[in-house]
Amino acid sequence: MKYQFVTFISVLILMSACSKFLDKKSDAGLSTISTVKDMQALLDNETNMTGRKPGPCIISADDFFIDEAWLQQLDETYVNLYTWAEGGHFRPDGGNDWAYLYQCIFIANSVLEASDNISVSGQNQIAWNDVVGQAYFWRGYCFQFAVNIWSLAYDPVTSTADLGIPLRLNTNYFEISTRSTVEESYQQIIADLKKAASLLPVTPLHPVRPSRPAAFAALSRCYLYMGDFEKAELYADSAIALKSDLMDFNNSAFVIPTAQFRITRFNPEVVFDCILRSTVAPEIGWVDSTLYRSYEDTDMRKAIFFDASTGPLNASFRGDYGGGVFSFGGIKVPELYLNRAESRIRNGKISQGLQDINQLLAKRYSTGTYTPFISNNQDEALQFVLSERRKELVGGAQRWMDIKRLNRLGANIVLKRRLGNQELILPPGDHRYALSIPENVIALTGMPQNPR
Amino acid sequence: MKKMLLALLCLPFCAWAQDSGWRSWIYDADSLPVAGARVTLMRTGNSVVSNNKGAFFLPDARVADSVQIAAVGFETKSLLLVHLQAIRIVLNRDVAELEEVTVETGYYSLPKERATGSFEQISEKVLSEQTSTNILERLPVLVSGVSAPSQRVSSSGVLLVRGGGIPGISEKSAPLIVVDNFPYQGNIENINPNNIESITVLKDAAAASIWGAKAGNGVIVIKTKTGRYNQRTKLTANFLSSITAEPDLHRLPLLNASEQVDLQLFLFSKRYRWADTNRFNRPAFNELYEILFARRNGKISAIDSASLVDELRTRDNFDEYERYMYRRSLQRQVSLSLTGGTKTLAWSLFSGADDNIGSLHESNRRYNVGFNNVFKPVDPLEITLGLTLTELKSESGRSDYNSLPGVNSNYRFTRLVDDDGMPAPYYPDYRQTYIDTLGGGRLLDWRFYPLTNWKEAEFRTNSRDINLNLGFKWKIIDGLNFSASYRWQKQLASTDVYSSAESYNARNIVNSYTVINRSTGALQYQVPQGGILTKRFADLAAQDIRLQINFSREWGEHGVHLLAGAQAGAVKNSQSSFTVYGYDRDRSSVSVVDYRTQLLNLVTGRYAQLTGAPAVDWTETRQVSAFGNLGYSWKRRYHLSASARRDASNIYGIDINNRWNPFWSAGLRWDISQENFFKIAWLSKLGFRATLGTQGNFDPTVVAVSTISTSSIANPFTLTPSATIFNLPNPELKWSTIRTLNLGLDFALSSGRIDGSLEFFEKNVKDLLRTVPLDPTASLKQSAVRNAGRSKAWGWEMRLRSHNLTKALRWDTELIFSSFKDKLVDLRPIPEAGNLGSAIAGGAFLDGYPTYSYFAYKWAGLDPQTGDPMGFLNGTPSNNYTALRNSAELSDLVYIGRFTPLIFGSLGNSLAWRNLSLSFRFSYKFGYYFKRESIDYGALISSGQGHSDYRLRWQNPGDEAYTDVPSFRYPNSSARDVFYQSTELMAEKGDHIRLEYIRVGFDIRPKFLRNTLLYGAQLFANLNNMGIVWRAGRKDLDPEYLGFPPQKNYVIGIRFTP
Repeated sequence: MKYQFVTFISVLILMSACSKFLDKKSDAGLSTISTVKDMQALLDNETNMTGRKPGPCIISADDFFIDEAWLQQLDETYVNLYTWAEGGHFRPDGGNDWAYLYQCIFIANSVLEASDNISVSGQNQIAWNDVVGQAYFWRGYCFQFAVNIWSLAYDPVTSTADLGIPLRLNTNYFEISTRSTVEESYQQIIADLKKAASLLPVTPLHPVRPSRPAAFAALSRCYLYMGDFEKAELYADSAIALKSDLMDFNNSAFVIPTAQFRITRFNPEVVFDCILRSTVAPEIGWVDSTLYRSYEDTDMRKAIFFDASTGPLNASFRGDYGGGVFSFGGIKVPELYLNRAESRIRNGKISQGLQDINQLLAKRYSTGTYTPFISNNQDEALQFVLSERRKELVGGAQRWMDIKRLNRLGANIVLKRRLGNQELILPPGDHRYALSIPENVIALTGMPQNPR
Repeated sequence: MKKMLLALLCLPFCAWAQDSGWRSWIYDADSLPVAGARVTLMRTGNSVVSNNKGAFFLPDARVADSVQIAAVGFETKSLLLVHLQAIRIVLNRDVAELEEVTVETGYYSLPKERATGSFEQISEKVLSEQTSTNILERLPVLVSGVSAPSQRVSSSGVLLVRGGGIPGISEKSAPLIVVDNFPYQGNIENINPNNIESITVLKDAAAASIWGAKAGNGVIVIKTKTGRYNQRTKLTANFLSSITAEPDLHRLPLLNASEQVDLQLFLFSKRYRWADTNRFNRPAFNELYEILFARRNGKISAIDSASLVDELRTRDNFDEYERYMYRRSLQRQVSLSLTGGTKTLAWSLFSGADDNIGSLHESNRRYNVGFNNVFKPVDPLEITLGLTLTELKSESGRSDYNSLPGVNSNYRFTRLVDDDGMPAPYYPDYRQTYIDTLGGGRLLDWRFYPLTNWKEAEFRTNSRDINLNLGFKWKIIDGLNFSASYRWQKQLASTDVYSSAESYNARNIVNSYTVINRSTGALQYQVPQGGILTKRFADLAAQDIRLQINFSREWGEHGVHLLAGAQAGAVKNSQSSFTVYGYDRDRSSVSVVDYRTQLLNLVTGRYAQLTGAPAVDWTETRQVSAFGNLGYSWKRRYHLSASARRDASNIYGIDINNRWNPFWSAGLRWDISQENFFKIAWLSKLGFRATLGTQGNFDPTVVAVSTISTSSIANPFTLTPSATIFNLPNPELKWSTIRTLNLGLDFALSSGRIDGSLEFFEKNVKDLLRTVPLDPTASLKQSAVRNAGRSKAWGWEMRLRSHNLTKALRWDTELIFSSFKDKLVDLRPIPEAGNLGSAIAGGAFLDGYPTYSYFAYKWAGLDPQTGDPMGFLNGTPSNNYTALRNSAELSDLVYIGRFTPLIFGSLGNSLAWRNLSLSFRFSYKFGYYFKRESIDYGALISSGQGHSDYRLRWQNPGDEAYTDVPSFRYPNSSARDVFYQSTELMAEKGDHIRLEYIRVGFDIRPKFLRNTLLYGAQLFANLNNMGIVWRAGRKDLDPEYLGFPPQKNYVIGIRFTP
């Protein structure tokens, strides 16, 4: 009986030791989001954050055309994007642009939710502000991608009725997503980016991390797309005040005309760096020949951005700011000058606006060959800035949004493609300017598809 | 009658007789004394037991008394004493009774007569009829209810006990493997089948619930050889070698070189892949394309081009692969085991070596050595000490026919040997014309040589395992003991992936990161020249400790068997890896490289980091359990059992309330044939069993907080740690519980001709776990686990043995029968992406249907104009594949059937005549379907690999009358391919009967060996994987295997048995 008692006691001791025994972590790599460092680590995940942002609009826009025989070998989703089909723009499984974009938003939301429970003290205040600012930036920046792709251009008359994007602001994944209005979407983007701007540092550790100038730049982009040129100018100005480096294409160490890809990634002009996926066109497409010919021969960009060794009809794009890791989806300083120039001209400050563009172009032409453009005609100045905008931002995701917003302002840009004997036309204001939402998302949530 | 006659024959010898008491000796047919035989005097009911010389003395025996002699494993014998002279009594072995009568659970062993649950035991003798090196491969044909899933469904190699565990979570369906009382954490390949004494499979809740959370999928309890007290020293030795035919590549249903050439000519005319000439990464083209490009650029004449193309048509690299790469595979096994015992020590020693050389010259070796001892230093104490050391080594061999890297790997005109008999080059990554000129010949050779590259690239693994068992058992009083046992297992595994400086891999990496100075032409290497070695280490350490009290006592008609205890275990897995560059194996020198810098790729112009920076990681799982088991018997015919267990683990993020999980079971057994009212003369044994209990419901995805996982690789730009969200909180999720009912019937005919058991089980899973797709807008993960409803599985299992002939020629038959049926009930509707489309591709999850059911599109024939495959969309024929995928209704689909067999089992026969024995076993599977392969035009275009159904394709209107294979269309539609693969045309009946093995044995029992360690030997020959003898489906398809089914295997060997 005594033995039994001893055994019983030892079992009891063992049991009470259990809870301690079981508190041991089961995996070296696992933890909860409990420190500022954890939050930062989530946002420093290259794949989820700076990688694979959506770039489907490049193939839909008019910078590139694709050889018909080559088009046949592309995934059907690309063909649908290129031919402005009604639907089928995204793979119906999880690995599509929509999913990747909202995954990034989910991580930002996880960080924001965790930040409420992480105490802030004097020591980690700076780091806390930085990481929370990054999370707001990512959320706003991603919503901006989404609204550009899946909604029509912002129209102040109809924006409270137009279909916007789902605004996921928490991590409760059982909550069914619904679509907001375009107005709500833009207001959310502005709110997130403004919060980000108030928290982010001026100089980031690396351009893959958001910064205050990046937030200002994104806000400038946002107001430009809304047609609010006062604020677009204001924020472009604030961004330039913090980050204004321009490379001189004549002698910059980051511009190598002999390299396969001529612009080095993370060069001084990069305000913020992220990479687009599913672009295809810049890699295998030919640059629109009219566009290519519009560059003057003294314009360094003609030789640096393009490889036309097989003739002007077959110019390949080589000027990506991602350094060949197609395609650059971030923000570069030239865009800030272009935003400010356009806004200033539209706001009546014509000479100031032209000064911006002249400042940029002086760094783009062969030394001493650039004659500053001077005009007092608002329309003429605007046309000049817009054509330079297209030439400077060639091959990027901005073009699609520019077509949408400029058409709303009456630019009447008609996109055309010839496919066999067939001519495809995308008229201004067409419903297809809002791409179809992936079919699996519609099936799972029941949210309304863009009108087809 | 015969026995009486025998006794009468002894009559003349009874010259002098005693009045009472009878002394004699009992031997077996081989003249070995039989110890422990019970000799009963029928008149008084008194009995005595023979000693280890087979001798006994039965007091009080008189002439004309009836005596019964019974011993385990022998036929019972009755004698009429006509005198009281000592005689030599010979008992015949009873084949039916040879089976061990105790079953092992890992916690206790119990006599089979007392077991209420579903235990199935396989003895060494039956196991040794097969010769595979992996023990688990031998089980499916031997145990009812155990199946190995078809390789077409899963190649994981896990066994399924009664259909596995929680439906919907397929990766958690493997049974728990227990070796010598503790869960085996190492590689199951470590275990040498020749060192196994017995295997018990625990199938129902009563059997398995003592193992708690891990036992939901059944438990396989392996007991290695141990000695016994008071046993003579015995040697068992096994030597065998076997040979397996090389595979016949030409039997693969693939297109030949000429057909591939025709297709490529067509694609070239469509300018297919011409865009690749403009890509930055300079993708390689196949040989034919290079000829066509050369012709197009005017570099060769039309006549030259045509003759080059015609030459390609005549090639077939399968001939070269068969000649240079494949061989017959060889296996050798040697094992020795010694067992013995004195009064205080029972010991065993084991050693074994296995050497397998595969069809590609790859080798797998295993060495085992160990001992297992039990001794009693002082009376109440018994100490167990066992140690096993295992070493596994594997080394890669030559190249497989489909192992060429790159997109041009499948062209049969790609040669291994050129016209001069030299290794022919192949271009896996970059275009020939590009790399031939790049660097002006100063770069390293950038070609791949399929014939010889395997010599320069090695893949080796080496794993060493130590398994230590230590146990103390203290007898407190009679029937009550306390035991403490401890197990320590350590497995160190290392993997070397080595590419020599001459290998393509090393040359490619060095070249890719070479910088060419454009003005001077000088080369600068960013990656040092030399070999590349990746080393990976995996270190496993498992410890378990168990304290247990056992109580076992019988009072008159009552028997109580009790045990209770607690157990704690920890398994720690540590991994580390690194890659070194510029490695010189002879000097063992490496060059220091920078893993962080972004290096410029010479060809693509892109930047990348070198892979293989050192990485370290570990996981540690801990578990604590308390358990108890109660058995009660009354009158030796009513048996009750009950068991309970709680488990807790440290799985990260588990809510504290979910840490402890109870499992229980209860059972009863009634031996009807022991009842007085039992009067069925032809039945000697009839027992009924019933159990009910809950089994494992463990799913680690149930977490309360969201957890993040920090990557061992930092962000390449900021060089700061990088993490991702690993688990999302899933607060709605409930544990899934499996409740199992098991009913069993054990019977034996009085004639001894037939015995067996029949079982019925029912498994009810509540709160079924199901992976459901999530709204990609709302979550990082594509899916989450949710409770989906219930499932019900049930089946019958039977083991029937008959002794058809028992005279000079013995013939025994064993039939193993299992059925398994399941159904989903009350499924909670869950929104699904792609609706039925996904259901068709995988296995559907629909209310009222089995868990993995096969649905397919109804076939509406080929479009007579285009040869497009058509299905039904809301009842009308359609070739709108996107709409078919998204909006097909259930009525547009056909329910084909199950993916897993409804009925399966085996039929074994063994014949013995004098020294000769023959056994052979068939396995069968009925009532299921599989999906065959056919042409996938997308793959054909992109890789050149095409199914030979291509030859049957629709080509002209009217062809639809005699073919169902869709037309070739360019550009191809992948949705069309997927649709065709998902139609009912692909469904094939899986029913088949397979001859698993034939074994012929010849026993040698020379007299001079009789008193040595070696008692006798058996020469044997096995024929394994003899193939399918009957099938319901197409003759050229094996329902279980894709590609090559296992080749016929011929074994010869000798086995020395004690």
